[in-house]
Amino acid sequence: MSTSILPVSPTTGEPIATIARRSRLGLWLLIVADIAGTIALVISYTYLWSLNVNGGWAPPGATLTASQTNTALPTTPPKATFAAEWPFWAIFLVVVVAAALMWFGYRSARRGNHAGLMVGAGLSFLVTVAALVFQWIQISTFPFDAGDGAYASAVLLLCASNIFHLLLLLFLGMGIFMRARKGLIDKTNWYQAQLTSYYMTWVCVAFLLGAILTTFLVVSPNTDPAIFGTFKQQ
Amino acid sequence: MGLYAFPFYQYSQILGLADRVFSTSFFDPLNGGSVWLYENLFWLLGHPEVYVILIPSMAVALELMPVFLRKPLFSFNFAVAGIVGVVALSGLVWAHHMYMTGWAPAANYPFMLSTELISIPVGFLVLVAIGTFWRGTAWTRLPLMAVYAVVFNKMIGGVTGVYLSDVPADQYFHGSMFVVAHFHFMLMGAGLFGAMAGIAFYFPKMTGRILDERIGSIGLWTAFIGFQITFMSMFVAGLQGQPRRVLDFDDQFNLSNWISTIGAYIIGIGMLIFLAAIITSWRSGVIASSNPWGSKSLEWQTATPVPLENFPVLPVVTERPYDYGVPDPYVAEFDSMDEDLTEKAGTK
Repeated sequence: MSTSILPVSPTTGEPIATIARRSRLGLWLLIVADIAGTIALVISYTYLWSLNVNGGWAPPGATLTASQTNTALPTTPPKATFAAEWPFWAIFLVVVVAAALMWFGYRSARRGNHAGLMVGAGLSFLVTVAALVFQWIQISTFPFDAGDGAYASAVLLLCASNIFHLLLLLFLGMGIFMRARKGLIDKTNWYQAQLTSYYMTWVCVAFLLGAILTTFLVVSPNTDPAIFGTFKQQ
Repeated sequence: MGLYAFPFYQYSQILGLADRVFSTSFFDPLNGGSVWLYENLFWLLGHPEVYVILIPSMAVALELMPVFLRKPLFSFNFAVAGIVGVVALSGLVWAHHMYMTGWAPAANYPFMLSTELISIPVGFLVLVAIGTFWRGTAWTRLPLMAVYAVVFNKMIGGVTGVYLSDVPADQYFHGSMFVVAHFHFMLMGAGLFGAMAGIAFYFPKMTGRILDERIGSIGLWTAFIGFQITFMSMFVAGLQGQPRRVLDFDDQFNLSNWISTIGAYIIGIGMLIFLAAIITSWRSGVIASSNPWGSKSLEWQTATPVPLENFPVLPVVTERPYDYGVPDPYVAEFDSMDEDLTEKAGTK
């Protein structure tokens, strides 16, 4: 007859399975709220794109489709035009790499491969830093300002949401790396790495949605937009 | 529900802030923004939030009813199905607040359908309450009195809500005092009196004393009567055509508004009386036993005041918390044997 001892948390003494179940529920609730917020952004983008109120969707200098703007638009003012599409996909791919590395670290932890966990969590953190830098560069080089129409507003908001997500990932990634370094994540206690991997997967989906919107919903289909007044003082 | 509803509102505020601070164009039509976007984001929170207030009040009512009617809940599963149904559908009904804005006339009828559908799970909750009343042995203490008020108000609010969900009827009622009366019956009528029920019920566990039944019930019924006077009169004003959010209304609405004002003062008086009951009972009320209501649920099985960690030893649950009046299967078996023996003896 053999007896099995449930692994317990080194900090609280509770069974790890109990803490993991509680934390998993918390994570799913966080993801639900995050999905709702992301849907709010998607609604804002697609709604303004479809209405094109007062013909104000596109930046003032962008009368052509996004794929033509780089070559066809004049270099003299009006300067504002649509953003290039590839940086959205590039940043998305960088975030996917960061998530994949975290998954690798988590899987390594489950197998008892501590070195693999350290490498996965550490590289994931560094790649997330790179994604944040790329995102910042993209925002600071957009060919429009915040006041250049609804497209500019919606794109900047998507990027702000991306930055918010990346900052969260930095915090989580640093936490996983530090815990791995202290030996708090191992073969019996890996749920935090697992939950971080889940959250990073959701963040990849959020970035993907942003890339899809900014690639496929650029020029408004509404060529006969409604004309409304404005609340600003004339 | 709060988890999926509130982010929409938070984003509406972030977008509004960005419009003001960074000159973006989310809601300003000059550069492609739309105020309808704000309305959509707002009501994506606004309508689920109604149920965020309503469901806890109904949950309190359904928690108390088995205790004071000494019978199981009419259908626990139906109550759960009702709550789940409300949660699921509440995110699909927001645009019934926007029938008259003209934002998407073609969307009115799908939203009319979804809004009428949500009356089904809400109806589950009311039917479970009524079914529990049926043939119950009512022990009418202060908490149950408040439950009576909750059920009554919720039925009035629910029935008038069906009118507002209909596009043709809403064309008349939209923006009128009828709407104000309806949502007060739902939110205040269920929420406020549900809170009173919960306070009266849990007061002994929270303070170790019984909430004064006499003063408390005077406060409760005074507030209830004031509530009916205030908002029934608003229904009349709405039916007469008084628009809401208007300071200087036409003379023809004077009478109903005066009656509403009087009712509002009566509500205030009732609430002050109820507050007095809370204060005096907390200071010098009758000392309560650990389980003054004879409740079967777990929180009442521990001592008052509740010890650290709730129970000195882990309690062993031997029966379900709402099985009041359900005969013990072994006792029922013996009872039926007795009846059989009696019948046989009678035939001999």
